[in-house]
Amino acid sequence: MAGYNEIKGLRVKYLSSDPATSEEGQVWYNSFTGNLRLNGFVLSAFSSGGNRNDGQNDGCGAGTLTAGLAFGGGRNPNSPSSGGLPTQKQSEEYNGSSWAEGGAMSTGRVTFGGFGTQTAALAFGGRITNNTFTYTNATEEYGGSSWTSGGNLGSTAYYMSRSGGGTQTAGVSVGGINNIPGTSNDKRTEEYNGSTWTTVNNMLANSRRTVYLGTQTAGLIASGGPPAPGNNSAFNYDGTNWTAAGVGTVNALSGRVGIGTASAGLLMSGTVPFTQGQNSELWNGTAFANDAITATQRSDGQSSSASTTDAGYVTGGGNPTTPGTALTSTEEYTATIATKLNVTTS
Amino acid sequence: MALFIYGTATNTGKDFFTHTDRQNFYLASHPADVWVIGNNEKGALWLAKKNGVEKTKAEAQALVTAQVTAAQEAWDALSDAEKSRLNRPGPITLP
Repeated sequence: MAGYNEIKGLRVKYLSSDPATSEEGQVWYNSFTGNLRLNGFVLSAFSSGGNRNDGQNDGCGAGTLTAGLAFGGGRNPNSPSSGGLPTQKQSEEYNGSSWAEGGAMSTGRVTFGGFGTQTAALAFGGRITNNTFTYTNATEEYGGSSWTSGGNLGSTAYYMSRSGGGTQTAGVSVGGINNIPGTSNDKRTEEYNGSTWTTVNNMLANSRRTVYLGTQTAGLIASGGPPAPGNNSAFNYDGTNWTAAGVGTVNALSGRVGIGTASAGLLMSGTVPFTQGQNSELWNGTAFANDAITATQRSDGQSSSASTTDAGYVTGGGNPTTPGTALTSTEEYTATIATKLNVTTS
Repeated sequence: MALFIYGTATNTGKDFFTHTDRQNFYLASHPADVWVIGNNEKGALWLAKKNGVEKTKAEAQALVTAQVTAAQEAWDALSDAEKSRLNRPGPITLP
């Protein structure tokens, strides 16, 4: 039988104790305990979470896996030609297993921007009526039980960046579509200080339906459109300037959601109906890599956008086969790290 | 041996499928509550525990296709404005 040296081209390190730091798959011999040791692997997967009381498509998400918030969006059915229900004002709060009704916004909206936590979230812009389509530049702030008005965006727009983008007092909105005919604000960046939006340096490319990861001073924007079904571009923001990330996402999709930060993030789901709509991608600050897949295709869902990449969720979103309807299911992402195991022959 | 088991089951929410389930067998949902499940002992046991109804691949495909067809007809009836906002549902072929 081939030994470790023949297989790996390396000898197993002979150590008197476990190393303080080790990498996935690293093997060593602990001479004090007499055990062959292995640094295990990250085992990531999506499992089912609590079902929503109402499906929401093209809404926004905030918070964490055990203290999440989903707000706004279109409800099933929302088609204007089917006499559908209006855009939603309502929010729902998640505790890690079930959803409960939260405070209602003053204005129902879809395709808007939003981020934050379960007790301090922000919603801005978006489309507010179905038939005919009308839009808003208004901002609303959530305090954990009710929504209050904030400062207006500098332009009336929809399909701005979603998922992350900072906090209620230090936020950022990127791209989107200006509803004034003949104009475009697809590169527009605005920053919020808790009361006022200020236009700052443009993004480097047109963008809409993108995922923003991180804060107002350390952000990453990825995927989105145009063109349909999406692109794989990624850009960094340092609070002043935009730079190309230098690498792209694996899958060219729009309508994705994310969790994490500019240096450690996860993109989930995306434009349907495409099989890539089940893919997630892990960002380690340097490159994107395919990660666990969801059981259900969905686009334009809501995420626990303030989560770290070891535990989050994606919920709601567009149903891949029924136009204008929204999913009620939730899928929770967890990454379990199996560390420093004894290697046995059993 | 076939790669997949086909069945219908209603997603009841939390713990309907777990992190461990996802590592033990392939699992994907489709319209009409159709699930495609990796064909191993744990996959078969999961469907049984969820009060699922096993289907042949042809039966499962027919359920999915019927819902897709209905969705396409619904999309065709939409206004042009709404069509521009939504993708027409495409065909789904089960693996």
